[in-house]
Amino acid sequence: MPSCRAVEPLVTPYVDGEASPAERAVVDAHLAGCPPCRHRAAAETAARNTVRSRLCRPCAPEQLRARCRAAAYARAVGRPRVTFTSLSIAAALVLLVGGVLLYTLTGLSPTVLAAQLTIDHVKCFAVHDADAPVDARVSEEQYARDYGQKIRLPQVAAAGLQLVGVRRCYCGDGAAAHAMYRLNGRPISLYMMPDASRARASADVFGHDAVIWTNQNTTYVLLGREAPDALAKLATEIDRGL
Amino acid sequence: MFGRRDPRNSGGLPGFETDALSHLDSLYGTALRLTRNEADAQDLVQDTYVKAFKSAKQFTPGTNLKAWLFTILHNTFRNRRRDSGRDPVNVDSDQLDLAAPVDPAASPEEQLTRAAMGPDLQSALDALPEAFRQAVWLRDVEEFPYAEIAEMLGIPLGTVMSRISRGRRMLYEALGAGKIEPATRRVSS
Repeated sequence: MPSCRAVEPLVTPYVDGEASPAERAVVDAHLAGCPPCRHRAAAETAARNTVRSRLCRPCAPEQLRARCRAAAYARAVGRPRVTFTSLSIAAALVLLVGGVLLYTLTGLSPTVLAAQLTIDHVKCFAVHDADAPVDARVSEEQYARDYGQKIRLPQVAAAGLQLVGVRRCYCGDGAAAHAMYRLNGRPISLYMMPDASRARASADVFGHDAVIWTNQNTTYVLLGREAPDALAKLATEIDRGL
Repeated sequence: MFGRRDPRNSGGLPGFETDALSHLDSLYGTALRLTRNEADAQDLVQDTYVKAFKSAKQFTPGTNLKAWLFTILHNTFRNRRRDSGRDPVNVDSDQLDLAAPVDPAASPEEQLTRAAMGPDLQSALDALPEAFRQAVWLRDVEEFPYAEIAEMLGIPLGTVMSRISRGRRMLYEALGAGKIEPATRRVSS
């Protein structure tokens, strides 16, 4: 006889009519003998039915509709909107410092490489819109068309990881492909550059952590404000997904 | 013949923009539940559309436009909230909240039907912690499948179902038990 804990994840699909026949049978059997769970399922059903029958979607006010339509027209006739993003003071200082660093991309120590890329990471997320998800395969094809270079984005099913942009970034005298992600909303960057010479390393600069590794003939740098072991784990997953 | 012009007639906009605008009411309703403030909701929706039109090339035609727009909406909302320094309380604990002992009063349906009328239901929903409010709204009003909710919020599938379950039960408690005035109960989130 399955326990309450075992049945718990099945209750919501059961209430929504989404459980498989086998799952329904398990839940039915448990509810028959468990009044607290039966009450709980009934409470969930009652709330669901009440919301569905009594709450309706409000209509957007006319002026909002007009403003959004105006935005559509502005876009459709190709007049770009100029938006100013204000950078925090810390980010602005980082960019200023970055402006006087003159290094080549390859041959840098891990810390200096991470510092260069952190500056780029902060800048890209501050300046470019990075909220709309993009498709990895479509982005690879677009990048190949734009820059004549093949990149491989990882197939990663990590929960909460969304690809929101792929750009080309110029650091020092080299160029890297820059895949911008959001991990549960937080910015994370994956840089890819042709360089087979690096050993796996990690760095911690400007409040950001970075993991650097090589796969086939490409060096990858995963960068963000994440705990070092969480980032290392994500890097391993990404590497497996390449 | 000279009736009022249908506000949904886009009057010459390309297909993508027209399709996107068709989801305005849904986006607005969700924004209102997220922000709980009329002015903020309007700003959020407008920002979402501006970003969506700017990123139009990143949308793969033939895929779910509504879910794509909702993802932008939720990301935009999260960013703003982070910028203003107010992150929501983490409500997804691993602790299993097992069913409470049975109350031998009227059936849940009866209790709720008596209590939940119009504005009370709205206030009770707004009083829920944001994560639960979002989940219940997206499932029970917007009728998104679990998987799409998971993707647009950037959370695992199990968390989606758990939030829906807890949200519904909290709502039931707030209304069905009849003890608490939904309009005066404020939960910080």
